[in-house]
Amino acid sequence: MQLRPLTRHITAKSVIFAVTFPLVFIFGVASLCLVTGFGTLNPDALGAAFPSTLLFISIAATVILFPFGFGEEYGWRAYLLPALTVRHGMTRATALVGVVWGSWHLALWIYSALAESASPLDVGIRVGVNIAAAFALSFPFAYCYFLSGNVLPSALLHVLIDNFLIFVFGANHGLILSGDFMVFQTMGFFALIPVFIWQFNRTEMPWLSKDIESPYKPAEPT
Amino acid sequence: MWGKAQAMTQGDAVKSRTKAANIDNHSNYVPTAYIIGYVITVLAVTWTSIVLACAAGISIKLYDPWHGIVFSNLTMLIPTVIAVVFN
Repeated sequence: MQLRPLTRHITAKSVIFAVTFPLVFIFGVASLCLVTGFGTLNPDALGAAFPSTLLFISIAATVILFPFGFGEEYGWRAYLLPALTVRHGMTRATALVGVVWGSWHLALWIYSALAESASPLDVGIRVGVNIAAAFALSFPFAYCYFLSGNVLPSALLHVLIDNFLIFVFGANHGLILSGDFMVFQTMGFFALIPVFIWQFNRTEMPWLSKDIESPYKPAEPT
Repeated sequence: MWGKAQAMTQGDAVKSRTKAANIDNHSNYVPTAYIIGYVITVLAVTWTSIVLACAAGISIKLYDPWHGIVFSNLTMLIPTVIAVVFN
């Protein structure tokens, strides 16, 4: 096991991004769902005890599930993403990881949708939308990893995204919202892809140039 | 003609040396066969384990508070376990 993805300096920017992106983005999409009528606020969400309960559950779930988020991130972001970035550059490598990552969820989503839904069309839509969402989400995840080259911030991002998605949206019925917003939510993820491609091109990533610069660059004359 | 052939040979040699040197020096360089093998293995192991779990009657509903969440989280460990094997 390579330890460099665990021992590289964690930048403040990567941690701030890991914490704020799920909060800002998911609650932003949730607000848009409410405004556009795709989702409705669950009555219990406004209860007096709800915010503190949600905060407690969020923190507990983040701590408990962190090792599992790490379990995915080390494989996808710390192993596969740099291996592909060496050959294809950041954007294409991120897209390729997104395809693999989305496909990896295929069996889980098919069986989960079959267990929860009777309609084959509904199963197909849910599986397709989820794969598309995973593809789109690979861009912020890759950005988080590229910021420091350390896998821990992206593992934190993974757990927070999973938790907030379940809390807010669930499978069309989360703790906070109910509605038919799966497609809307995925469109929100896709809308951010150009932003991250732009960020890939302009962000300083000193560890990247030292560590995974293309091995095919011309040798310096000796 | 000879000059062109010699230039190509020298170019290939430099490229080859560069490639070899960088494979040694770049910890993130992974041979293509390993990348393909990694992806196929992760997908195969995960999909097989899910199919077997369902065949065994384990509920994997994603938002089921126990079975689904526990099982889907266990599958999340597979990419890292396989990455460690391929490293």
